[in-house]
Amino acid sequence: MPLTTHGAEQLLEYINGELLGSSGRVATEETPLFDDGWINSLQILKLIAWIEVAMGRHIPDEQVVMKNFRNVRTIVNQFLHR
Amino acid sequence: MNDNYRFRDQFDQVFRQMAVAAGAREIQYPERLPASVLERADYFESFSETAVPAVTGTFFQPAVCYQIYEALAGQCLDTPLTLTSVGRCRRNEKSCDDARLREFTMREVVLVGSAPWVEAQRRSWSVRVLEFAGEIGLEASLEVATDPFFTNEKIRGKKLLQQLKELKLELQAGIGDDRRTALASFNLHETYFGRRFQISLSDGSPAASACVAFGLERWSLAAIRQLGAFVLAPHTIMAQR
Repeated sequence: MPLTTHGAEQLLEYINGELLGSSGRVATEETPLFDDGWINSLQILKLIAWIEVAMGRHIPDEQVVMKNFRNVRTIVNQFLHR
Repeated sequence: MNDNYRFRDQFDQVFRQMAVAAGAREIQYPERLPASVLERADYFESFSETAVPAVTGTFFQPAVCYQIYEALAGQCLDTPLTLTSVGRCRRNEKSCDDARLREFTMREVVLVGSAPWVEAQRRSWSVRVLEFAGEIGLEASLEVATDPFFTNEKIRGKKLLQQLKELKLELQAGIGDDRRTALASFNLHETYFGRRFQISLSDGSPAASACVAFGLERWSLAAIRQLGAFVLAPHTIMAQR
């Protein structure tokens, strides 16, 4: 199984289960995660922590920009598909 | 009046003129405001150490726009609003940076309406002000920024969201010795203040807002440092447009 797909599935499971679980919202790989209040200031820290554990290294704050975090696909391509 | 104050006041004339041309209504407020306004804005959570107390139960305003949201509290807006105000502000600055004054003059333009309208206005203002800087010969650039007051680790998530969503743009300019400072900021609040101050749109949803803030002493400082005493008066350039 390609790492990209694997990473996307796991990340989506985390986002929909842990981060959005009580909101009734369901994200897809293409959902703009930071539009319209999908993810708040606490959830972004949890999301970053999950990605750091998955890829085994720290994400510098300078890399927390929209081109890297727009949606699940961009996160996986940027941080998990290495 | 020395150049510093003269330029500060001339820059204010320019930005006031821009705001009025954009349909802004001008409002004046006292420089002190009740603590309850800052509490309602959750100011102390994010910027706990910067507020400067005045007499009991009041603070010196750290920015002009808080009193505008308070004035709009509870209102339902049929049309978008553009408001402007200028005032003295105080912040308990920890930095030794001489561009970060503890008392300074800020003109703000506050935009309240639907999210698409507010975002378009913020974009338009950032381009307009960048162009103005170029017209008077100031070297300046638009940069994505975060508030420097976010020092608490608990607030890191807010800072990262602000950075990621590019909620804060700054017009930064050189002030000598390879130093740059923000002359203006263009801040999207999404519906934060709409929800906090219960400002709504006609469909009942919370209003979005943005503010454009001009640090007038910094404009003066940058003009003098970059252009020297021969700078053409900024209001003269505006009159020629």
